[in-house]
Amino acid sequence: MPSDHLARPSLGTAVPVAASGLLAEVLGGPPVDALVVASGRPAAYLTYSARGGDRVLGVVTRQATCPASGLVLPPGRAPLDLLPAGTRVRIGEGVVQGPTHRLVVGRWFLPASAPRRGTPDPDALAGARRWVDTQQVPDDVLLARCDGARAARTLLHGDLDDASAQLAGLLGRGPGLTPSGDDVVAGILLAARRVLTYERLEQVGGVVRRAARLATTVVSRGMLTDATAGWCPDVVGRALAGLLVPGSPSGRAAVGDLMRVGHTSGGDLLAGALAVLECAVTPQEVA
Amino acid sequence: MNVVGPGRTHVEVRHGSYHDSVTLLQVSSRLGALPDVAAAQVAMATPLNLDVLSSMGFELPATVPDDLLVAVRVDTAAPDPEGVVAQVLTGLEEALRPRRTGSDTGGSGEAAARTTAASLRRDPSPLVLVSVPGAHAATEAWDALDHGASVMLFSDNVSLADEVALKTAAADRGLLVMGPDCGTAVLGGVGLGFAGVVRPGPVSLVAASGTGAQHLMALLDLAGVGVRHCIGLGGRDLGAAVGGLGARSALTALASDEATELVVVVSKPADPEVVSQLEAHAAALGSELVWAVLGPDRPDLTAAAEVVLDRRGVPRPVWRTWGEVPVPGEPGLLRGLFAGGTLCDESMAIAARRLGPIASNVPLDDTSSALDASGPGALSAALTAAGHAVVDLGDDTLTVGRAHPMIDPTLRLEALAEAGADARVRVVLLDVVLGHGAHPDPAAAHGPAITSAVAAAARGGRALHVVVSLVGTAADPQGLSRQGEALAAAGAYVLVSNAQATAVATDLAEGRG
Amino acid sequence: MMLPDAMSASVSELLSGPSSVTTVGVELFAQALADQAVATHAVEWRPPPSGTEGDLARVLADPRRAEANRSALQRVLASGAVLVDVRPAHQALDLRPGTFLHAGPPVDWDRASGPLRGALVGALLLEGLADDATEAEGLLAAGTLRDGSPIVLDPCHHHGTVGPMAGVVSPSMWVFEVADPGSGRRAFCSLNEGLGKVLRYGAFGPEVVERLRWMSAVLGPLLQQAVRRRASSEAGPVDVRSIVAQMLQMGDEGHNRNRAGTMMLVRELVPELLELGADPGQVAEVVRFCNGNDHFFLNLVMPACKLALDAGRDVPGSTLVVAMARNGTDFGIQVSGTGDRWFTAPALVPEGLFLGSYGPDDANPDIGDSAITETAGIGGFAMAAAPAIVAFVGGDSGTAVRTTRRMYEITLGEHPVFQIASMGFRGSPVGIDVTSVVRTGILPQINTGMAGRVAGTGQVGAGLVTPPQECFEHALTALAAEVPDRS
Repeated sequence: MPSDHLARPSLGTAVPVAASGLLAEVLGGPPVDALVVASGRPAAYLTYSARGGDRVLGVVTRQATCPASGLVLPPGRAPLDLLPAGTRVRIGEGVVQGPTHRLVVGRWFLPASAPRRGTPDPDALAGARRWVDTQQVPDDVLLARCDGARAARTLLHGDLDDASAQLAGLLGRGPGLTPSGDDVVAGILLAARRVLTYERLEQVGGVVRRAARLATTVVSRGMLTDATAGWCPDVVGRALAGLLVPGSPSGRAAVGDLMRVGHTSGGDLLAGALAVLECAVTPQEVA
Repeated sequence: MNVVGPGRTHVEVRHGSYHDSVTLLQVSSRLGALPDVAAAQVAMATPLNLDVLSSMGFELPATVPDDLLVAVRVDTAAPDPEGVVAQVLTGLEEALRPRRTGSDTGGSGEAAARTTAASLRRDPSPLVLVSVPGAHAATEAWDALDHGASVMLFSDNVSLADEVALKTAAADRGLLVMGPDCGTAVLGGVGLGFAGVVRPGPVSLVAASGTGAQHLMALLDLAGVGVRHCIGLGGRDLGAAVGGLGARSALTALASDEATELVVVVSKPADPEVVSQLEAHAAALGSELVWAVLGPDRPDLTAAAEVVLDRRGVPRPVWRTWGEVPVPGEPGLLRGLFAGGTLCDESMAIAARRLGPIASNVPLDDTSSALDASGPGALSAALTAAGHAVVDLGDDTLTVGRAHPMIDPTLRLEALAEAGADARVRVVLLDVVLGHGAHPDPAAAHGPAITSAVAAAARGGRALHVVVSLVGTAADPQGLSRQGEALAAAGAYVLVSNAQATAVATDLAEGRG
Repeated sequence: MMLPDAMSASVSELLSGPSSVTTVGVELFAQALADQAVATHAVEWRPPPSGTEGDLARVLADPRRAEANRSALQRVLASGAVLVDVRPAHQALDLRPGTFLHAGPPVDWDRASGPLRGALVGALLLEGLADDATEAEGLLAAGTLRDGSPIVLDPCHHHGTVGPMAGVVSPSMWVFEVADPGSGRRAFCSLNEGLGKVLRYGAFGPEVVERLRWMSAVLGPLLQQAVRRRASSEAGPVDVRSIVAQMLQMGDEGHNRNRAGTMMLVRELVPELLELGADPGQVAEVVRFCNGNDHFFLNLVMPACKLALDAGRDVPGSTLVVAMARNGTDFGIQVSGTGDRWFTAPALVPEGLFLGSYGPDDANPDIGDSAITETAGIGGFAMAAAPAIVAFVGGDSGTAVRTTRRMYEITLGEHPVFQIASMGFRGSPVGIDVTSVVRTGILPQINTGMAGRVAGTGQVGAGLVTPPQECFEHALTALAAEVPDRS
């Protein structure tokens, strides 16, 4: 029986938010402590402890890319003003209680997930490949994408332990709040849901989650934790669907939208996903 | 300013100041509650409202329907009548001050759009929620379809011909028209109209009944099954005239939604031909359908929820209750005072099976004693009936010039007090619906009336039971537990299942133990 | 088995949880959405006049409407306008003696206003059909010339012509001929006489008639030669639409302010005039006359607009207004979907500034075909392009921008060529939609001159005016009657 918000503390100004259903447990439960680890105009990130260790929760504006475990603010509100970096907040009983504001869940949404069905569309793959290959990126990013492609091949056709090790080796590589290597790995894991069995995914996912605790940033850890369960930001879900639905013009637009995310993040993630889907479309399914 | 009499009455006309009737009714009731105010009414000068104001004894100047009328009567005993009028007018300014409800104004200095078309040209959106009076609703809905937006038509009193034309055009353009008279919808977690905050999940509803859908969603949420979408249809969609046009589009839309795994169709008894066409359509789409068809001799909403839980392999919970289980004593009359139409029908059907004919302002064809009149006459006839009565206070004929009882409980509080004073009445059954759009704290609004009705009966040396079916979820802004506990503390027995609440109330009326 | 129907992309967006919702009606529901962190766009809805709701619902439901309006507006926007000739009206319009064109919807002598009566008297004198004003009035009242042949009054609009203010065109007057190069269609307009005591404002004194005689004897023939010379040159005919587009960037709105447009026209024609080999004194008179009359170019803006709007006529189901015109008594509009029918109501009196000692009591109700400019998306609709205009009503530049913005609420599109620099080169609001006017109560804003109420007075001022709302309600009723029954 879920407990609801008896005696909601009325501290500060209430700000309605839309909450990912993945956060229902922590938001609906008794209050837990959390820390704002990063805060800016488009997004803030909070960490808290839950079953299975540290968790990450993103608070974003409508314009920013919302992580699968995220809260979306109403128009005209910026995370920076509500949740300054370094402040301690409490999450639970339907609210995120900050120093001056409390974010009240006004609705739940289901985050996007990587499609488990669909046939890779060769035209869409080729189009996306052109975008990825023509993107100007630093050498370390390029290198991470190449290593990602190797890891994807191993994952599909090689030894699972080798693949897990190669994926873990990518974590933390390259620049960014979510380093390029992490984005590539997320792309691989998400696309692999279309190809691999549940057991194999779980095994690889477990290795990646454990490695991520030490190897990368807090924000990236949250993204990878969601990705190992198949959850992803909306823009990623739409792009993956676009690669798997032949001739979908909205899908093509979604791939373009993904390319524009972050400095190279979107391209990195797409590179990872393509590495898997191209393997899948070339030797096995098309032949 | 036009002051009639020695400062006791104030009537004022304001030109070019339009506000919707729900807002004005809320404002009027707030102003009427100010100290030393005998009556306060703020209304557009429509013929209906002019009648109401005249019947309240106000002398009215000449107006056109676009004028806003402000009418205040001060208590004869008020020490400072002028001060009271000033206070009311200040309150009015405050209440009607233009507000931006979190919306973008669309660029610097642009005035708000005056038509749906102009708004969509400036700020495109995928959905338009239309709640203007029925005669104007189709016009705004066409604007939406013309600009590639779907429509939720909350408005009622839209003609059947307009409904068919709108839905046909929407189907041609791959858009949805929900309604008319669509009270509830949930799209990807966004609640529209009166809607509860439900957790996301694999079940989608296609619903021709607003409160029926709300109740079903609340039960599923409580049992741990989330809801993906609830696409509203309006009450006529599954009849032969509309032919399930809305349902067909809804099923098509849901078939392309990866996250929907099971579709539940909620309706009153539908046209058999329409049902079989929809079955065929769903089969062609490869969708799994569960029908929750409500009516006499049909499974109730709680049973329908349990069927869905079975399908999902989720155990049926013990439905939650608050308060002491009432012990039946002497038999007596049942008074059902409902805000939700479908909940009212459900309770009538359940109660009638054991209690026989039930008087109502919205009688079920074969189980209730039909009354000749409809509207307020039918209501008072039902409530003074010699037998059991279950009434729908949200019926169209009762909400003319008054906000829906889910927003404004005044009418129900009066009926509750009457029942408390009626020595024949043993049990009062109420529905309390939570969620966005509903009253912000229904327990606070109903609690004192429940307590005093029970106390009044006790003073008369008899037991009066109040049974509440509480429709809501943990995440609703009003808080399910908070409401349940507050209502129980006021003296009610509270259940989340309307069918179970009705069964308990029926037990009490029969006096069985 | 039926195939699953396709849903639009906007429905997919809807099912992923709409990020924004437009609300119209009960405020409570917009608040409920805001409480869920959903962006809302609230329409500031007000009920239309009671009695119109049925017709509105019927016209909005007309399956032809959306496409008809798109197509009608497209034709209007596609129409060009070049100056091809200047000719006497008896040639260009085949006007017979005793026939007089006038502004606005049809009207007879009995109902004609002071300025229209004055202009008709002046026209009879000009044509030599009467010796003095008294005789002219007598003939006009009787409806026959001295020889017993009938006097015919007919709206300019019925002859592909427009006339400012009283708009009287008689056979010996010269007219501009403007053509759409794409279709070859033609529109005509008289030559502008200048301000003050002039025929179009209802004056008919000796100086008025004398000026008109000079215009027919000198101005018309010289302009004809210059225009024809230019039209057959390598540069081709003067592109009127292009000058209109440019004048909007130079502080003109094309109705009450035509200063920049006039300068650009003169600039185009002077070389041709100089090369005609005509009497230099006469050439100088012509150039001085055109240059000294800030409204000279108005009489080219108007037929250019007429040409464009005529292209949008007769599209079944279209609610586009194709003409707004006033005869000093009635205001009339014509609508694409209802053919040549006029929908009329008594014209209003403009508000604004008065010349000399004239005041509001001296002003005649609204008059002239010049509201064709507003119908085409300039004039009052482009007020933001001409902030100086608002001085007429004591407003500021904010008033001008607000006025133009308000017009977007009642128009079907934005003009691709006529742009407003101060609004980020946004296209001017164009294509008045009858249903939007009735629904919002927002009336088209017209900038106009004011004629004296008494025949023979002339101009008394200039200002702002709107059509009466009833015109649009009548048109709506007619459009509703044209809607095919649902099968």
